[in-house]
Amino acid sequence: MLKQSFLVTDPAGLHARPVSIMAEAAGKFKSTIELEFGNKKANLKSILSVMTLGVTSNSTIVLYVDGEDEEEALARLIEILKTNKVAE
Amino acid sequence: MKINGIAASDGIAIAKVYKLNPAVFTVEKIQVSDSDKEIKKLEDAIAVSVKELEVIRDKTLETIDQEHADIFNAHIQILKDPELFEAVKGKVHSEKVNIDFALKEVTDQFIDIFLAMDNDYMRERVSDIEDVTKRLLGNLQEVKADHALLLHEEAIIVANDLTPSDTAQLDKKYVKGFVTNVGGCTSHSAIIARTMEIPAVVGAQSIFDAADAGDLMIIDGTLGEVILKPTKEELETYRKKALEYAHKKTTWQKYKDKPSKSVDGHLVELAANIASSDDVASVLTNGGEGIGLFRTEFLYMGKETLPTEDEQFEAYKKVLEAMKGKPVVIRTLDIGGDKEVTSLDLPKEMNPFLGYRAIRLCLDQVGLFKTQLRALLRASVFGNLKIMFPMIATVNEFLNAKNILLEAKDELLKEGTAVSNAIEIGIMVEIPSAAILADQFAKEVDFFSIGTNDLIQYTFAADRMNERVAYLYQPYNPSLLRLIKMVIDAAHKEGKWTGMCGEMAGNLTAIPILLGLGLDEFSMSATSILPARHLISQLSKKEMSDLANKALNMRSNEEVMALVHLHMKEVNRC
Repeated sequence: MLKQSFLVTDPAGLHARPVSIMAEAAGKFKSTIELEFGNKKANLKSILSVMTLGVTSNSTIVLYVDGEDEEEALARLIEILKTNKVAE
Repeated sequence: MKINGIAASDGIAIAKVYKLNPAVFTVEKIQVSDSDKEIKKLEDAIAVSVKELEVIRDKTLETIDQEHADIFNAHIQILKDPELFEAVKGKVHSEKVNIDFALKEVTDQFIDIFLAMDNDYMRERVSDIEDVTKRLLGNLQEVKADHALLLHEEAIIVANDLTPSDTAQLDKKYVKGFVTNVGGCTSHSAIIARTMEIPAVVGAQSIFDAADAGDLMIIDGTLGEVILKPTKEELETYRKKALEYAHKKTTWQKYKDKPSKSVDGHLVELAANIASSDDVASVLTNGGEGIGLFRTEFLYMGKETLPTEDEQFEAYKKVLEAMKGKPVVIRTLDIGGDKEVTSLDLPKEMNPFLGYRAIRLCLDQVGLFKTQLRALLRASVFGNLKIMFPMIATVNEFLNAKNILLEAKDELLKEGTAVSNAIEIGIMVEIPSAAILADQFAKEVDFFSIGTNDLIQYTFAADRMNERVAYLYQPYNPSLLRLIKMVIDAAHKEGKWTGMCGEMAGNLTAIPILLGLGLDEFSMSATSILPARHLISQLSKKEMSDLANKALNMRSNEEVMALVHLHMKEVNRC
């Protein structure tokens, strides 16, 4: 299992647009992918679950990726977070 | 039958009525034995809904922009949400209930979670979940919500209200225009209609009930008139008018690259008002000679945190670069009062328009103000920047704001950051005290820009949001014209210039008078620029000065309007 934390830099926090892009990307991988915020975890493939976390700007999120294609999945998600200036 | 509404987007349309009925669903709880069959129904409905949304998304990308198209990408992701699907599936299996009921129960649970969140943005997302649920239920129950997208013959859309996404889906090929019961000049649907150049009338009160599908209808988006089941004579008149309008539009196009010059050679500047960097393209295609008002509020509104200096810098730089050296007047933060900003957490006030807002707030929260000023100063080297402070009431307020600006400039220079030395600094004149003391202000500022909506509201002491006192919105009242004259004259005496960035600057009845009063810059919505330039090219500055002098000595709004209309007929006859 891979784990990596990020600082959310988007001033609007994790809003619908980036979450939608990440959920779409995550859905294409076999691994289970979870996003942790505070002490709550959500399935990253589920846009509604991630949005109910209400991730705000300047907070830390952790991605947990577990499965056969975990490396590829994490790399793709990091790329999305960076290119959309969501988190670093 | 004639119904009057608000003229939201120019042009004339004659076509049959297509009513957009809001979809109504009844979801009853029914016990089912074959739960797999229910799940299959849901899978099919999801597949159909995704296809529908893909069409809407692609269309939006083509006709509007990426940002609006992304709304529908999010809707698609909600449809594909595995947690949502599993929850519905679980409910159907365990409770042996029909799929519609299970779906409604689960989405309602999500809606409750979102509503309980301590986050305005997330609470607003409820409308997205509702929208998607309605689409799914519509496909499950085979209740087709009336959809403008399903149109395949020319029609005028009649609705109670249109959401931005409804409007975004209108196909210009078939939708000749639209009319709504509710809405105003600045509602999203009105703005999108102007961008798409579809004639529209909004706020036409009872139109949805009055019109039946298939009725013939005429709308005049320039005058805000709707004619239901027109007579032969009316039909003929408006067909002629529509032709004239089409002819005019071709004429206007010829003025795209011409200077804004009166018959007797007097030059003015026709600029545009914009609210985001995305609006610049339309300014250029409509022949704008500059940007007279860049509202910066969009950077602050609807967000949880304040925009950073870098984020603002990028937005300002983008606009300055795109305008390639043409003047760009950027107004510093004009929030507070009625314009709420979540990240600032301002208390509600009894009289928001008279309260803690705009420059008053910025002079108090210097850190917030300075962040914006630093971003502006850094962007200044990428174009022709002019900075404007809103809601200035006293000379001291201006001097204080200017001092903070100079401080920010010093800091940047010390840090080794380049700042332009040619930035003009001006104020918005929207409070009568500033207009009355314009001669003193003129010694300090580089320019004035008259904000007519607020100046009218403060001069007539009439809340512009209150429909019951709407009759006091009197842009042609000589009392207002005299204030405008004071400002223009005071600026000219000191060798400075005066612009106007309110609704009035693009109004074809107001332009002759404003030209006569000597206004230097007219800033309006981009689509108003060419008609305005065409009009000015037919007017004589000298004659308009005489006209304005007559107007200044009249006593009512109506008298002045009649005076101009009388004169304009003579112009049009030439």
